[in-house]
Amino acid sequence: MKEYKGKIRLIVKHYPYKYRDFSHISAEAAMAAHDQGKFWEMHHLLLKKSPQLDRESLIKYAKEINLDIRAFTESLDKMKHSAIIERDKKLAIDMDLYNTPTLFINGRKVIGNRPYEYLKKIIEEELRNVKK
Amino acid sequence: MDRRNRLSIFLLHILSRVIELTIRMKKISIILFILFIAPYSFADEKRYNVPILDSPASGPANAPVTIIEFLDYQ
Repeated sequence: MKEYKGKIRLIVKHYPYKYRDFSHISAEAAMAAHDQGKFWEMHHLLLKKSPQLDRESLIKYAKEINLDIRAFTESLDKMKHSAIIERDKKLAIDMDLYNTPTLFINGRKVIGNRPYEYLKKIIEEELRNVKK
Repeated sequence: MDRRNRLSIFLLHILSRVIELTIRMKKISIILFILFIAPYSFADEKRYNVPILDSPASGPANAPVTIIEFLDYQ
């Protein structure tokens, strides 16, 4: 996606599945990093390390990106961002999404992991639409 | 003379069957298109309005393309 720098705005919404062990806590970890201005660092780390997402591992990742560990751990344990995460989840359910990842590229729904070329085609189409 | 007539009638009959079959194939292919292909191409064109709110974002606010991703890290 780097080739489209400046042309794409990426927004992340959480859709943790309730029957997976670490879905909610890893979303909490991303938001706790967000509080310290390092959402994207944690986001990429979580995607890379998945499914190794238990509490101890998350704290280890927080250390890797130099977060304030005390604040991070407290945020995790108190589930400080559960309201936002639940809000996102409710939105996903209200929109009848049942798959992750689900993308909306200028509102066009793309379900599941797709090859980069597929996404690129849609992005190119959207960029052409804007130029018209 | 009679034989030639019969032959031409036979050939005409074959020709009409071929035309009929072609029309039917066309109908079938239209039905197949509507049943299987059209819903996907229409679904692709539908645009959803997803509220962004204060979700984590990167890239310029006025970027021509906005991607909203619903994800589960696990």
